Amino acid sequence: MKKRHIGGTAFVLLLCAALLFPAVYIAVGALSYPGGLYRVFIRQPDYLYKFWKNLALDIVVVGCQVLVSCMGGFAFAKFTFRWKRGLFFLMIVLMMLPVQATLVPNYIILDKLSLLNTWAALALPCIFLPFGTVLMTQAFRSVPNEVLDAARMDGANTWQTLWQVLVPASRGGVISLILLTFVDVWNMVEQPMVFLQDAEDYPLSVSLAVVNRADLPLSFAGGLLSMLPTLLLLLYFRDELAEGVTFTGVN
Amino acid sequence: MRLTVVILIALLGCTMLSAWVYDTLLPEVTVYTPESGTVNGERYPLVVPASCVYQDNNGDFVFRLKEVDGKWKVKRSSVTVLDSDGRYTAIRRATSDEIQIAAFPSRALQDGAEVKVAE
Repeated sequence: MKKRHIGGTAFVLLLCAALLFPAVYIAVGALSYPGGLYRVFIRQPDYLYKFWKNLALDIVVVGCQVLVSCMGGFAFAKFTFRWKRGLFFLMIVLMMLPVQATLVPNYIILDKLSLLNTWAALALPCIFLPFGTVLMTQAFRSVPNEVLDAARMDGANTWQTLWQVLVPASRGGVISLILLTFVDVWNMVEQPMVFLQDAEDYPLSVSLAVVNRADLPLSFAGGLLSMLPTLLLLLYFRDELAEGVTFTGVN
Repeated sequence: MRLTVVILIALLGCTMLSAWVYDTLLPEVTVYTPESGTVNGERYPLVVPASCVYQDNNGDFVFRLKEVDGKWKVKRSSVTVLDSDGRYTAIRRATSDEIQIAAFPSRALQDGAEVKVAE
């Protein structure tokens, strides 16, 4: 019994080491090349400018995505309307499509809207991703209808029922959505390369991918900068994230 | 939460510091418009201070000043040296358009680099 326990611990430790290796490698690499840290954090403000622009874009996208997804999820989970099942199935199919498959249709739509080469081209497709709606539908389904009925009897309208009853009751799901969308937007590479032409407009993720091949110190320092926000968010919300994923997976 | 706020404030500080360092370390140049003048007793249509003309494996060149999105940048522009007296150099360019060149830089210039223009 004890042997099995040790074996399991060793396996988990090995798994942790494998998962943590890239992050630790970047941190150690960045610290062992102070020249790169100097360039990214003190000498060239470009990377930090990109960092703040990325962060602003991310906050806008996450905010809008939560708004759209909660409203969509509310409709799918708690309302009955024609073609509901079919539409939800369509949402799931769209969610399954890889980003690369939707790049060309998105490009055509953004071109028609004259939004190419603007950051709106990066934000809009992410805001209306079906993943959020599906996730929130699953989260809202687990809240009993009696809770909503009670809220309505207390005089809450639909809007209040959503934001003051349903969303707080599905906190885990909402936090999962925030985190997963944040990481998704922060790390996007394909969309900026297709929708933006000017390399100076590229977000941090693409700039690092383009710049760093020959420049190891810059690559490590940029990687460290790029890693910071997601790492902090994950550390801050780690319990809720685990809870949220389990929670939506069970339903 | 506190750690996140501390790191974000530190990054904001780094951004302001790096913007200041970058601006302070930008090479400062004087704008010079080549005009006609006399070198070694001969009159030439384009004369520039001798220090504005550089040489590399591809020949002689000057740094042309261009304003891109509100930023001044220098661009390598090939010229032919006709005559020089040590202070002034007479040059010829392939095209006849009027250019502004970067003169008396405070630091070494590089092709495509951003510069500050002295008032």
